Amino acid sequence: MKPNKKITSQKVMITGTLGLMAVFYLAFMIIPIIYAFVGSFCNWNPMIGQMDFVGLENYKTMLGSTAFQKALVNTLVFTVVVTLFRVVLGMLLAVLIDSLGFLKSFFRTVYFLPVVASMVAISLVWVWIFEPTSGIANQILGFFGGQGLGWLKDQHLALPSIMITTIWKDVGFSMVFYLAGLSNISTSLYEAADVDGANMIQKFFKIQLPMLSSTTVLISVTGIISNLQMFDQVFMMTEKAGPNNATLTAVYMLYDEAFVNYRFGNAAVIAFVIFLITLAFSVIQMKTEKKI
Amino acid sequence: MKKKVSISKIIIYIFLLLGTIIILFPFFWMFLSSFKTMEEIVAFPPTFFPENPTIANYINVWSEMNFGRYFLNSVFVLVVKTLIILYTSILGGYVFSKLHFRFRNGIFLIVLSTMMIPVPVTILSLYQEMVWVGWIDTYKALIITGVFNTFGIFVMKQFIAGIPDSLIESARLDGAGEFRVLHQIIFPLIKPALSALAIFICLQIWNDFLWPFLVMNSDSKYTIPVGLALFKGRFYTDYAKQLTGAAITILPVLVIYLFLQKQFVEGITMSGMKE
Repeated sequence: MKPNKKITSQKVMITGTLGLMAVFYLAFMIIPIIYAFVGSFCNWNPMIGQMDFVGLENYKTMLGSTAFQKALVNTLVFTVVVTLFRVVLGMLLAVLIDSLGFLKSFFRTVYFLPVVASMVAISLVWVWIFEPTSGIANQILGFFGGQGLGWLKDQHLALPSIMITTIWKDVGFSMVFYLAGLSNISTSLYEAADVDGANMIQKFFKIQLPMLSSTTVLISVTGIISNLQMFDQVFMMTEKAGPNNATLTAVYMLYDEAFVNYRFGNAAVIAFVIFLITLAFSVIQMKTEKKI
Repeated sequence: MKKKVSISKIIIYIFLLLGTIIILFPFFWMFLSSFKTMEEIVAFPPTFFPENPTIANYINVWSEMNFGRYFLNSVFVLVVKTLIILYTSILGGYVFSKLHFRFRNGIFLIVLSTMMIPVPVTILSLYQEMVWVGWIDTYKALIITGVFNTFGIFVMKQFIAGIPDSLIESARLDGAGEFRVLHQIIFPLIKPALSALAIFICLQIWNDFLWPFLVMNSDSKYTIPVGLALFKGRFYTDYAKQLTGAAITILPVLVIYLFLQKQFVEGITMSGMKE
């Protein structure tokens, strides 16, 4: 290969692409993070061009605020529960559907359907389902002789109601990943297990569960990261985050601080708390993947 | 030997069918309710099928809610943004897998690491930037801020890496410039990966709520999710209209999904990516 064969067009493509990418990632990722970090130490209001340094005041306000503490608790509870269901139900459905000879694609199509719908639209439907007087949830409870519940209007049930909606929408997502994972398990493993006389439950615990472990890591970590940032459902399904901040989450509070109260500095504090928690989980993911 | 249908198989089918009812019920409820009058929706005991089906809700929603405009806006943003992202992903994927330069792997790792940045961290500064350049309430704010998609670049790099170097080399020897190689050799070969990625990207853009909600102020520029959400605010107790709006929002995606199910699932899981 001649030395000057490093064709100009290659150089153009490389420098052009990398150059554009550099501008993009700097402008829309790197600089925003740094700027938000600075902003967390300021009274920051973009609408009036304000960015006045106030030291640790925002951090003291937010970390000491009972509302924010509640938001963190709600966010973590929501994240853990929804992610847990995502993993367990997703795997269960995948294993069951995978074992069928008949109607396999039908079930896969059905359970995945909620995933493609817009969360905004889905939230509206579920608000209606949870309506205390005319919603179908209480009708069904009444049919079985139970009493109507407050659901989204009840401060103890509001967050669980949103969890139900989220799990309903999300389960198909993890299910298809598990189905893909199951399809990669070679049949020879199952045949060997049959020779040893294993039943379905034993095959699950000895073959399927271990072989799906990397899928489980993927599903849990992506689930945790996206659930930590949950916003759409709170915004659509409750008024000002529910009775008594019942459904207040970190991102909702961020939205409220920044875009309702114009205190971007406080919002930035929330953003970095979320960032730290997300980083922690990402690190755990990388460590766990190394072990597998 | 005739195989007996095992009890456990029957139980599994029943369980899955019950689950199917739970999954499908809200959709049926939404569509059926959109053909009911408000009185019938709140009636007790509730009816399943509409007693006197009416399309009044659809007419009202379309005229009162400017839904046609929202639909056009969503389509516009979707098409433009998707085409741009697909091109930049292929370009980036090609550059990082088939071209050689110093620090290639290191730079790629840095790009990849940006996937870990949660949205809330950048969204505040992004908003500030939009205020500075005067892009608030413009389509530029929605499109330009998303021209590169790290996940797309990652997926395309994986796929393009599997293309034999010999094909590329022979094209170069024939005197093809690098862009010609990209467009004439690479593009045709990545179609399966491209359609899967396209679906993944399209779904994200179509259903995107937070950023369009924050950045757009004019009713004439809202995308569907934003229009629907604000509609809820204005017509707080009018469930008939809200459910109908939700139905109109979900229907196109549902129809396309039913026709392209396999591609949707492959797009989400990138399971078509396994070389």
